[in-house]
Amino acid sequence: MLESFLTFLGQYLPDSLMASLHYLTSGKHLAWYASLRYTLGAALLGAALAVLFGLAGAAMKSARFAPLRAIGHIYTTMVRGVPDVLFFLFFPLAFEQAVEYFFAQRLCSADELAAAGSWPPCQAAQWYLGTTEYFILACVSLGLVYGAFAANVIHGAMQSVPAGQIEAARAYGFSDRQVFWRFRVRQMWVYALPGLSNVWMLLLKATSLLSLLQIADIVQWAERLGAPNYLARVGPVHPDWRWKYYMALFVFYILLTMLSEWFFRKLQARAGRGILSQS
Amino acid sequence: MLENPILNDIATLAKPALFNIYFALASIPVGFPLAVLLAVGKCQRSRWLRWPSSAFVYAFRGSPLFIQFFMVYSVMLSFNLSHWKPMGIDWLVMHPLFIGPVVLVANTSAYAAEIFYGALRAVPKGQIEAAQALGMSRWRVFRSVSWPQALRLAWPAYTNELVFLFHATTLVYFTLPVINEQKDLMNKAGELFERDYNAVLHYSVAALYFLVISIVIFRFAAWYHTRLNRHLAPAERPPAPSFKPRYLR
Amino acid sequence: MPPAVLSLDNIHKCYGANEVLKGVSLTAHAGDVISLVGSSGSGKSTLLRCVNLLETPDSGSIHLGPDRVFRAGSGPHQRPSAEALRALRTRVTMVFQQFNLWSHLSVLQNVAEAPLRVKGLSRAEAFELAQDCLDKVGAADKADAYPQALSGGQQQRVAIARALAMRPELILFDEPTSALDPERVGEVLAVMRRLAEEGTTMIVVTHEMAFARDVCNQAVFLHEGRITEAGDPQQIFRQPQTERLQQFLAASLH
Repeated sequence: MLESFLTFLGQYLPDSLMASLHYLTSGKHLAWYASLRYTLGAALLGAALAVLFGLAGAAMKSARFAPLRAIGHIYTTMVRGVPDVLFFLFFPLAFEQAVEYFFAQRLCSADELAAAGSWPPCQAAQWYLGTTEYFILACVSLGLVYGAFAANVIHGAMQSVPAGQIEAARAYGFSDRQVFWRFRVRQMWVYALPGLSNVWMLLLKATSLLSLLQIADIVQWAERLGAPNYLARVGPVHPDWRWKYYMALFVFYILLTMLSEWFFRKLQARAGRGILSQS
Repeated sequence: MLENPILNDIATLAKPALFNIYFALASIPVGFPLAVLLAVGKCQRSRWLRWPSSAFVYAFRGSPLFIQFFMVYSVMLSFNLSHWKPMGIDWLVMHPLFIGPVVLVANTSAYAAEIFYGALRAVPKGQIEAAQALGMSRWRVFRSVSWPQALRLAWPAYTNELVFLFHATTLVYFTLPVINEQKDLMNKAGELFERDYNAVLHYSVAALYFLVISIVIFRFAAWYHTRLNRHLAPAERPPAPSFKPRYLR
Repeated sequence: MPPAVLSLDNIHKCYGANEVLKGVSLTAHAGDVISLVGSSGSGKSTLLRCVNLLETPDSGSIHLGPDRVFRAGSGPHQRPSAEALRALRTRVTMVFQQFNLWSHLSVLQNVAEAPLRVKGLSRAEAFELAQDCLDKVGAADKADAYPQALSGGQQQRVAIARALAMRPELILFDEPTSALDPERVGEVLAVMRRLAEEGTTMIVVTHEMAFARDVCNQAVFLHEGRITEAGDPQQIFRQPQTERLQQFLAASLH
């Protein structure tokens, strides 16, 4: 279908432009465009998890039970003091090892377990992670790291909900759970949105790190496509063009940022109805 | 070799930590003035001054540092044979210890510029008008009134940016070539991990280094914050930068 | 004598070492309009908040009609059960000084929310009821507006509609006109006066002495956590028995 479309275009467009079009629609390029699904998927899934972890973290930070409060506090400060890349690499590794440890206890012989040195102790416990597993683990790490930021934003936003309105809700017989979800959380979004939009921007940019987990994302494909290219049949196709591909990614991410800003402006206007003054 | 694996790791990772510290320290002296320039540029009425600064800030805040590293390195590489080698400076300009700070400067100055820009706009208008009324030149108003106030307003957020900058140094060796034993904390932790597969130990010690140095940055910034605000009574002083995630990057 | 709607028996409340209520007993019969007056810090707002258990009294008991809804146990911070609270708060509603309308809901939704979600009325019933209550306070035309777009007087009238929509046995008013511009006070008092004429049982903390005298059938003067004087407002305001009330009246008449 693509071929016939290109032939159709070829009747009207100059040859030089057609050459670029053919080049940009080669199989490898199509794979590049398709790899976008990892980037966008990780951003969306990571963001959803970040909001969940954020809500949980914020709830823990304002818990009545002191140990829970401490856990919430440690969670949010840990992430603050340590680079996101470290979590991003460490969490999937640690998770993989934890799973392997679990299976090793059951599958490996006592001798193998006692003999230190290699990991996992025996082949049976080895867990091979494919792209899907890495992708999910990457999303969870994104969620964990940016969930800590979101927790702070949400915690702060919950404090901004006018106390009188919460009290009124209690006075009218709403249960604690109703007060929390129908009033505090509902109004919290408006105060949290600017901060959450900021977290989203950070998370979006962090999706560029997927290639560190062996996922063939847009960055890895850019590297492959840009590398000096020789075809036995044709000879050199192009020299080192990586700078062109990386520049394309640079611009692509800026466009994504612009799009996100526009989206959050709309969202803010919608969510703020009645709460933020109309002026 | 030390007996205790934790102490052993702490000792092994000390030198790599210096590379992270180097990248951060090398970027601040250029990044700070550039950020101020960009912030001032964004405040200008002339479109020809305002537009380039705004675009630079937007581009470098709106794209991942990871990509910025790849982009700058590959662009530099494409000039290598044609320009740098003939000029005889390829050993310098292609070196990670040079390109690393260059990219970090671009990145941190964009983020810091946005912080300073916000602070400059938050300086009370009346004080600036008062200075103008006294016949001060634009430069004088900036130097004596706007900037000192803006710096005080921006300091907590700028502190936060310094911590982020320090954390961002982890990306240098994921994107640029590692030369010999010049490795940073993440490299070295990864290398140690490859040896004995003890992810928890090595990455925790690396994390500990980041945590401790981040706290040192905050401590220093809080001390300087008190100095900046010594003209105010203790009760009136704005809250010092603290190890609380109040700001995002 | 009509049946008792509310009786408070020997209510005590401390904040740390500060004893705000030192044993207050009070009974409201059906149709009573009781004004609670007293200088600031006399404990009148705290007493009101104790009635619907926004504050938990340290000791004493509260009856609604024949049902005991609260009795302080041995511990100072014993919380009543969630069901008990819900039951009490559907029968006793409150109007706040700062209105406290929910800003994310439209006026109509504000009024319908509690009947819908707390009393479990159907959507149609709740919204019809809400519309009726808004009619009653003269705010029907504002049903679709958000609270922040309304004047203070309009907001307070909507808040009264919100209280009415629960069909409560008793409405508590916590200084309902204190946060209003002077020219807006009248419209709110007029609504409250009409409710009183219809036989609504109300307890009103107020500084509006004219309202307390002309509309209320009972006045309670609270001083330093104790009821110092109580009775027919015409009588106790004209011939105060205690020096405290005399001083208070002199101060509030300027």
